Amino acid sequence: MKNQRILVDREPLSKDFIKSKENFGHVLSQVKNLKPPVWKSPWFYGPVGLAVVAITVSAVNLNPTKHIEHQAQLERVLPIEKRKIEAQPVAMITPKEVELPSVREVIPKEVGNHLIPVVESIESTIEDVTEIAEFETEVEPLEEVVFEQKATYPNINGVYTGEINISTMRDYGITCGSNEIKSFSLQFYDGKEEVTRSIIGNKIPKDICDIIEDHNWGSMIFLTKVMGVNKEGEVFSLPSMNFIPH
Amino acid sequence: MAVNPVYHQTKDRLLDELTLITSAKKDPERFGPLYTKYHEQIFRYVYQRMDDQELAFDVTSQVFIKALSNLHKYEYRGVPFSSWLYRIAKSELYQAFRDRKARKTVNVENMHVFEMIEEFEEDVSSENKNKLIKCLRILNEKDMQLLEMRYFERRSYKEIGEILDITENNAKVRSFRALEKLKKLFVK
Repeated sequence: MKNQRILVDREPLSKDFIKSKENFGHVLSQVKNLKPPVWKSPWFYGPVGLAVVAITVSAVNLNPTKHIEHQAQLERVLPIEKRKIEAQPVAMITPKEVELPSVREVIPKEVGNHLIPVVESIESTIEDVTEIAEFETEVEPLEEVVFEQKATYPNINGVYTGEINISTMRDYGITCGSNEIKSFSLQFYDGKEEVTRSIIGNKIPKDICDIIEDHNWGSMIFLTKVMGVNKEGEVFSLPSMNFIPH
Repeated sequence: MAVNPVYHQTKDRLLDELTLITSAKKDPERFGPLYTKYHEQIFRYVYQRMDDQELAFDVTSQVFIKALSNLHKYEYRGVPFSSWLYRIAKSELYQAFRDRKARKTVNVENMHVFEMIEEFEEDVSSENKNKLIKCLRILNEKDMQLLEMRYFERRSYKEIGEILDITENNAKVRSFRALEKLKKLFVK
């Protein structure tokens, strides 16, 4: 191992000397003065919360898949509307041609010295008009459009983000509902620098777990480019995760 | 190999310790007895791996500060509280090597070196002693860590397992392999 010094028979320190250096008061005051990290303070949560809400709202409004779904719905509705338009002229024209019962003809008839009015009405077209009216109201119900929800959040034994026990990381792989995790990238500190490793499968390898335990205790690691496969064999990308091992 | 009596405890003592931890979670000032109990142990662990005495005391303080501020996350698993402290100490040590440019050090006693040479069935001589020290320098970090705990600090396999979060048997196997590696380097 480079940069390592080996000392032989260094003078041992006495128990009393070590005891004299005990200072619990200092430890206690340091803990009391300890400020929470920036990302745990309300000053961080406020703006970040607002930003998340704004992003979510804009994402929902500008969602391209929603636009596609709307287009698909329109395509389903359009032929029915066309049928309605085709039926309309028939309904409008026919009553004029067949003369509705409201059209009456009054012909005076001479009976003795008096003129008696006789009403003749045409009722033959009423049934036809009703039929047309019924045809007009027959509109096929819209088929219910069901959109499959592909993505749920990936997790390690139910932990989606934040603090995670190292033994949980060792024992469990990444899961995401019924989807299978195929690969992901892991960013961590290996004792010298920040490194990113691409991992095939859903579990963090043991050697990386060891490195994480040694060098990333209490500091954040990132799992990105999480790729999953659903039951139909479709490959898709899942949301990234970040954890703080402890 | 003699066991470390401060580390190894009876079930009753472990439960007493748990009571102290539970009360310290509510009131940090009650952490005092645990600090007094483990300060020397943790300091010796840190100083064994460091050259600078003042820095070792500083790192030890940091270990207890971190332990106290993260005490709410501590979960009892039937092992001594010190195994958790050792893990924090290990992390703080690496941080000190990284941030404060402290130098990694391995402290060995002549007696331990000669015992190892005897285990390799070689002659106990100053020439072999220098050779063994050279071999220790070549050894990788993980193997060195195991040999250091087992042969230079005289820790039991159970204790090593609990500190490294592995099983006792695994600690035994890994220590044996590390020793075999060192032997190969030495005999070469």
